[in-house]
Amino acid sequence: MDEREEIARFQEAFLELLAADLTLEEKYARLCTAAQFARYRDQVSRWDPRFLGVAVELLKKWGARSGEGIGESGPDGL
Amino acid sequence: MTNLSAPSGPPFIALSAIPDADWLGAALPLLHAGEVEALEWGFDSGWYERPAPGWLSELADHYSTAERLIGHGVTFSVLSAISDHHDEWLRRFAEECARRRYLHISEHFGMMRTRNFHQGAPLPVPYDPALVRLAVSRLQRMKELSGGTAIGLENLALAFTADDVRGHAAFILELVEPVDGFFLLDLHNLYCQSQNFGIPLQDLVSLFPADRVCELHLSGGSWSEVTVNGSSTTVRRDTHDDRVPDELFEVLPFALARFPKLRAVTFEQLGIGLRTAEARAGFHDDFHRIKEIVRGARHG
Repeated sequence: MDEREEIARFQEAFLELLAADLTLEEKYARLCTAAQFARYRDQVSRWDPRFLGVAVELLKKWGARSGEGIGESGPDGL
Repeated sequence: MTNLSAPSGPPFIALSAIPDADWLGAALPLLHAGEVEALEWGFDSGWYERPAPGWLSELADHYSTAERLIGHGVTFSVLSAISDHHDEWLRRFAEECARRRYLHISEHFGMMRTRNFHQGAPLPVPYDPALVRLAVSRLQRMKELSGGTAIGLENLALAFTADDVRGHAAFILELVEPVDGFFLLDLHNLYCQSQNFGIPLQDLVSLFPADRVCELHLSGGSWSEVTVNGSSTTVRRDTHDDRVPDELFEVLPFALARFPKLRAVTFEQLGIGLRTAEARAGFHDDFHRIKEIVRGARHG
C-alpha cells in the first residue's frame, strides 16, 4: 500500500470511529490500539479524549455520509 | 521571504455574509449605512445543494465590482488524502474566479472529506509530510486557477493536544509558504485553544508570522460539557452564535500592530444568534467596537 492510500484509510477509519456507537472512552482505546491508526500511533495516543468528544459532536452535526443528502455547512472553526 | 504586498491603507472592516434572513436583517442597517467596507462570503457553500439566495449573489457582485470582495471556501477539504471531489471543486472555483474579482481567497486547514463521508466540519489531521506535499499542490492549483490571487488558510479551533496548538502556525506555514500564501487568523479559534489548553491568548497570536497574516476573523462561541471517565469539563467551541468575548477586543490592538499586511478584519456571526432585537443590537455593538479599535489603530 502506498503512503497516500495508507493516510486515506486512516482518515476513513477515524471518521468511522467518531461516528461509531461507542463511548468516548472506547473510541479513545481503539484509537490507541487498532491497526488502522498505527501510522500515527505516537501522535494519536497523546490526544486528549475531551477533544475527541468535540470531534464526535462536530461529525454528528455537520457530517454526511457519501450517498446521503447534503446538509448545512458551518462552524466550528469556519 | 514573501511577496505578499502590504495594503495601501488600513485593513477593511468586513462582514462575513451568511445566506440567512436573520443575518440579513441584522446586517442591513450596517450595509445601508455604508459601514461594511468589505464583504467575505463562502462562495462554494451553495454549490452542492441550495444555491446562494439572489440577494447574496447581488451583494457579492456589488463588492466584487468595488474590489472589496473576499472569498472564503468551506468545502474543499485541503488535507484530505483522497482527491475524488477536488477536480469538480476546482472546475467550479475557476468559473467563480472568472466571474468575480477577489481581494484574496482562503480555505480552512483540516480534513472533512473521505471515501465514506462527503461533508462535515474541518478536523485536525496528524502532521505528515506526504499530506503537506499533497495540500501544497492543491493550493498551487487554486492560485493558478484564480489568476494569481493570494491564497490563504484559516487556523482551526479544534486541537487534540497543547503541542498541536503550539505547532499549528508552523504546520500552516508549511502549506502556505510554497505558494506565497497567507494566514487567515481567526482570533476566536485561538481563544478556544487558549481557554481549552490554558495558554495566554497573546502568546498564541505571537506564534503566527508577522508578514503573512492578511486577515483576522472575530466571532463568538459557546461552551460545551464533555464527560470522560465520569469527569465532566467544559470546552470552548467556535459556534458563531453569540457575542464576541471581551478578551478578543483586548487582544485586537496587539494583533493589528503585529500584522502589517492585514487587508481585512472580518466579523462573523450566524443568523441563529440574531433572532431577537437584543441580539441584533449586540451584533451592531460588536461591529462598532471592532471598528473603533481598528480606527484607533489607524490613528495610533
